[in-house]
Amino acid sequence: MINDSLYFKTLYVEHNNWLKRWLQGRLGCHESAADFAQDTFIRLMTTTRKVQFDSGNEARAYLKKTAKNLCINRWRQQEIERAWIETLQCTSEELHPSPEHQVAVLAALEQLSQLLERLPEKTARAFMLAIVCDLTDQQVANEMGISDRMVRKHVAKAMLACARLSIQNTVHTLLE
Amino acid sequence: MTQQSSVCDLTKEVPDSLLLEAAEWFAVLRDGRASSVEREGWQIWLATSDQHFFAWQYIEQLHSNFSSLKSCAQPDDIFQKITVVNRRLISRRKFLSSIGLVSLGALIGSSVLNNQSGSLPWIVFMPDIRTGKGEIQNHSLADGTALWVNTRSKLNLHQGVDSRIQLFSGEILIDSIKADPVPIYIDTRLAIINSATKVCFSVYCDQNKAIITVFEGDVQMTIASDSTVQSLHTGQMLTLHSDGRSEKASTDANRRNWIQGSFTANRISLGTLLHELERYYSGFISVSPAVSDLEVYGNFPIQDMNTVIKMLESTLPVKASRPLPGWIKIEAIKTV
Repeated sequence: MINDSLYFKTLYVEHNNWLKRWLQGRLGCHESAADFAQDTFIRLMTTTRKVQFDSGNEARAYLKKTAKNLCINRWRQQEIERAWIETLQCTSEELHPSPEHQVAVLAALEQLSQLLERLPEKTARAFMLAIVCDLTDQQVANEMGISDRMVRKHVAKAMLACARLSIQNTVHTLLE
Repeated sequence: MTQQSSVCDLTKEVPDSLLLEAAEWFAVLRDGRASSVEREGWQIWLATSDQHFFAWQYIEQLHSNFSSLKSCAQPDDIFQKITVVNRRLISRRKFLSSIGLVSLGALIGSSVLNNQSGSLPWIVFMPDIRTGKGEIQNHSLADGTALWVNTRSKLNLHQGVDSRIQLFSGEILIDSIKADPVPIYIDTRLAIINSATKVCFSVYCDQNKAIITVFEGDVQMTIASDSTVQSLHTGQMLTLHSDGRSEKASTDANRRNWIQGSFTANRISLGTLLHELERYYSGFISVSPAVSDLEVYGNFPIQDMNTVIKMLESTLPVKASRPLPGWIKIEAIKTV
């Protein structure tokens, strides 16, 4: 769904230069500031959410927030992709997973990065051992020096965080 | 443009407390060593309502999202790399929340950031058209050309005096045989493919390769690595690899069959077939090595895994089980 184009034009005229300047002040790069500002407006234009602001300040606060999220998401993708390429460079080519598999790996890594930043250290470790390495509760418990019961607690906590994150992301995607 | 909305209602339909219960049951059952009492408890819980079942499926699905990591690098290595990535993101996030850099700071910031982000212009995060797993879309362009978009694709589409498509990943099929086509350009990372005449062709691309298949008509393409121009004609298929290699072959019908919702297996291994079909299945399929080399024939419906499994079970000495929702496990039939 596309929002009312006249209203959108007004928003663009009134705030685009301001947003570019704001981003440039933070990113220090004219081109990426222009890119991110552009993307922010595209997102605003194509969101299915009803966009209507009561004041210029409210519009700017929303634009700032959206632009920040875009920056973080893109940086995360770039960082993950780079880390993955580094990993591939350290392994011989015949051991490289298939391209399809690699796409899945990148998506999983991105999700993992988002998840791990939301988890306390021990929960994150338990999640890695239990879910990513597929160890049994007992093995995780031995590895971490905690009880089986605690392993289950950590895993449950991590999976709940994962579900909340996924729902949040899905809602974002659908509103795009 | 269609949107998947099934998960959208999830927040309304499944309260957080149910997700927690599902996560707790998952933690109990996960390693397959739960007691029979625990299993029974879970069954009772699961059968309580559709919501319970939905919450369970959701958690189970999330778990399978991470399955791709099991077969790759050392988990410790992954953990460490993600930790580094996250630490860097924290410091970059601080830039965004700061009051702003002064001019000298801006210059330093610029070089640091440019250096950190590298040049990866092909990272896309908001495509015009995006399909989910198993989703196939059919669009009609302004000139009457049909644009088919296969599972898990991302692309941008601009229409004007010509049609321009930026294909980031996935697969599309262009059919302008019955149209009065304007020139069309398909931009992939490895080549720009164009045609100004009636044509039917498909383009597949992922991070490492692009496959261009011409079913009818002619296309030209400019190869990105050396800027050479090539033509492809009816019945030809070209695979371009990101290291600059390329191979020509004759058309693979499966590069078009997906628009009919089918995949044709002609003496390929069971493992290969399921690997192909997993592109469309939003779950996890495991094949025991004992049967993965069995040869398969036939037309398989790509969006209906249940039928596929029935077909396989009726023609091959295999049986399928579902240890957990979303996980299909294929093994040899045990001989007594």
